[in-house]
Amino acid sequence: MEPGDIAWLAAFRVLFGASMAVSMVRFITFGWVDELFVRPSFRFKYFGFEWVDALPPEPMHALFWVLGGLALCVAAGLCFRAASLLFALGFVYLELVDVTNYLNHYYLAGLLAFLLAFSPADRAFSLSALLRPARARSSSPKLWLYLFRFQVGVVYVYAGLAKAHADWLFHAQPLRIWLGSHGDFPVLGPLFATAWAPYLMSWTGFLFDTTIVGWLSWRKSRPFAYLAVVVFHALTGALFPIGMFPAIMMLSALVFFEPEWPRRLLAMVSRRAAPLAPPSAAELRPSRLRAAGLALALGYCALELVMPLRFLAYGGNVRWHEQGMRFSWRVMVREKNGTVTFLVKNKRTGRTWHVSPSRYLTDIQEREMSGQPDLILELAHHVRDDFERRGLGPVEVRAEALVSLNGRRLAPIIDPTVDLATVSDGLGRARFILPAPAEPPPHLKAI
Amino acid sequence: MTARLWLSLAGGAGVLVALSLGACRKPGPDEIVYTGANRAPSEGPERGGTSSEPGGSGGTSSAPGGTASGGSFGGTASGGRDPNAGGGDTAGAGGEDGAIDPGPTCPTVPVGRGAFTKRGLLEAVAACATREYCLFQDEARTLRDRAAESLAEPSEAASAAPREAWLAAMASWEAAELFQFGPAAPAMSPGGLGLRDLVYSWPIVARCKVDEQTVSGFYANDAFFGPPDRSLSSGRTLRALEYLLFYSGTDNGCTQFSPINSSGSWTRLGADEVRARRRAYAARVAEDVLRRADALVEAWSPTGGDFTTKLVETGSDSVFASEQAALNAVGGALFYLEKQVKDGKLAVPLGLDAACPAASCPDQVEAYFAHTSADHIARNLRGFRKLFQGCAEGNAGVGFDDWLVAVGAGELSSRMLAALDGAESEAASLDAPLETLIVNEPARVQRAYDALKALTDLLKTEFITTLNLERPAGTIGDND
Repeated sequence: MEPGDIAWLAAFRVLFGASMAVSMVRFITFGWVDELFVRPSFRFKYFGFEWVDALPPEPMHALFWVLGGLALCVAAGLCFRAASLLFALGFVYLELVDVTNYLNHYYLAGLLAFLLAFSPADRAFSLSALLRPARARSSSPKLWLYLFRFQVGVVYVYAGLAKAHADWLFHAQPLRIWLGSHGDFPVLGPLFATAWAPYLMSWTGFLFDTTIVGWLSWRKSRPFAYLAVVVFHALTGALFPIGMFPAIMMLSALVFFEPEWPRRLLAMVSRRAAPLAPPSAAELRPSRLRAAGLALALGYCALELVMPLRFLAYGGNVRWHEQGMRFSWRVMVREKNGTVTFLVKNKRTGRTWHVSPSRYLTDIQEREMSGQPDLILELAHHVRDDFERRGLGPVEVRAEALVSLNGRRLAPIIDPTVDLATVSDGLGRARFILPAPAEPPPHLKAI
Repeated sequence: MTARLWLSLAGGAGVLVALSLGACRKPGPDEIVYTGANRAPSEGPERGGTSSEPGGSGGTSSAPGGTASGGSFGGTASGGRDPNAGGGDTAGAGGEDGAIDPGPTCPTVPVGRGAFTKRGLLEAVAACATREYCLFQDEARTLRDRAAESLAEPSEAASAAPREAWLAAMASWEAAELFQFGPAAPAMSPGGLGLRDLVYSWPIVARCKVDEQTVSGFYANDAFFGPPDRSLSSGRTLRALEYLLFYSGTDNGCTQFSPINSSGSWTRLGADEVRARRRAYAARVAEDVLRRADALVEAWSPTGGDFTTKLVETGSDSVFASEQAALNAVGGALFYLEKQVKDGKLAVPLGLDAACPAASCPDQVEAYFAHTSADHIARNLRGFRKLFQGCAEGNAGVGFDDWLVAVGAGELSSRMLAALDGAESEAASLDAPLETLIVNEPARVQRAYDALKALTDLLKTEFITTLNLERPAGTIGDND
């Protein structure tokens, strides 16, 4: 656990904090606080976090402003420990409010926020270090560098492995569908309409994700690899509505550079060598917490390695049944649209209602729910409870749920004979989910 | 730490932040997709009682048991009536059996030649919308004229003419309901002017609002034509006209606590004055509807708002940032068939939706007073076909079906057309007032619902997936 230059960590802190502040501003200015957090009257809960609920409208709006301010404090390294912990907790709270708001890059941002909060990122290039020079350091344990590299590497590698299936590699789906709508993209638009472009981009994406960590780790290829990172993420950011994801990945990939890279960069800019101060005696003293820190880090790494592999326990097509889909870095791997109607039958009178999810959900929630069986089940329970609360029960609740995956013909995803009102959610394999359609996706043309 | 070092760090951070902000394309009004579902919640049907005489299409309805209005009629009404509006232009007459007889000035939609292009589709859609609104404008003009003429001759015979004109106008409008993008769409949508809700406010139903304004005489005030907050859309539009023209009872739709009942002001009007005021109110509403129709035509016209160009010429300085964004708006309008028709016009009255507390709610059909709800659904499907298949003669011309064929999804196109045929067939078979069928032959109405669902299931899944269209509200938030 030799100490290494802390400069990389300070730079990461500044960039991450700034990007999170921008993210909060986007939510506020685009009206997403209301649309995603205030408007819904029903929210989907994470397993084990059913107790998390949304704040009332005004405090919810205020929370975004507070998180933006905290993110700026993180960037500036001011009251860092408190600011970073509070930001991490607040950000994760936002993600726990409603499952339909889940995004892989929000998950990543939450993890990075917590890692940062426990790191010594404020000990250099910060207001904290400026105001209290005694706390300033020029080095940090290399464990942090390896931990951040591991985290970012896990995202890329698993995102690449998530593309290792026939739809993506041999049928170029869903890219074929997505590129077809970008015929007017500057310069590249006409290329997207060719038959080979979806295949090229599918394989490029697969190879990029699975190998970029290696290229970034090798000193000789690192600059070119980072250029590829910038180009890749800039292009995907321009093509797809993935918000802050490209920015987060571009700044995260910087951790693969030598830890002193910010000093070298500043030296180039200032045309003066920036001396690296030798570690102080205090920095070189082994920490009593080193063993505990190492154990925690190893445990974290093990968890991050295992989490994306949960889908193996369920079999089948994870992009269809979605068991093990979240928290596994399956980024942009499917185009899925569904339609759900709940058939609710009073057990005593036999009267049957056809309940549209739009009675309970916003359009955005309905879109997300319609392709995710666990959310369909959760809404079925809510429909059951709502009917019984209104004196219309006891009821049976069945779902007519049809889904089109990557352009395939629509197929039922939920067994329509199963009374979902009696099915409990859990971690086991869900028997109410029907098998995925076997036929390959269509080879659509782009025009 | 030197100041220069700090400055350099700040500069580097600024570059990266700028890159991030470069990714932050604010999805301003140019990119917000019309949701189609963002309306004020329905106030629910007014408790006017069920019709005791479910007559044929276009007949008047009477409500033997209205809400309590109290007392006997007596006394003369206070407040004046609006003077007869001036005569209108020569308008295209509504044809028999609801067929639209286009006026001579409505442009035809070109068939289009050559290979499919998205631009060609947008041009065809724009031409279709322009024609639909022109047709409606003609009918609205006729409606205004007939309503005005009925003021001069307040007889039952004279009342038939504005009713017929309303039926023709509604026949035209119900097809245009599928064109809720651009000027017709809510103001928060790209190019939205909120004009649809000022022409036809359904599902907002507020019989009491109309009755209150009948007493107050607000319809005679110039402010009546002002912004919606002056006179809520529930108190005007084709929706209010249906009630004013087709409801022959002289009771009102307000509760006993409404000022018009608690103060006795309604009762003091007397039956004759109520009828006279309703005719005058109808004439004013018809005039207002024509103004909105004129605004719609103007908004699309090359010499006016020129929304045709805005729809077709997409780009960074346009209403729509890209062709796909424009197509999202048009494609999103097709979802009217799901939310408004399948769920609102069929599921609720059938009792399939829990919003209906009884086994069925025939009084919650769309056109309870005019008994034309089934015809409206058939017209909606015709409007859908115009957008989906083509708007030229015989549904030739460019439509979304051509786009599906062009991308290699011809089989999907065929299935959707077959489903549309099925839905239209079932809708056409509803040959009695919908509220009557719901009570006496609910299975027939259920078949229409099922047929419509078969079409909307394809719309919500394979259709938008294949063409990479966004569902309404789909552009809110990020994705990955």
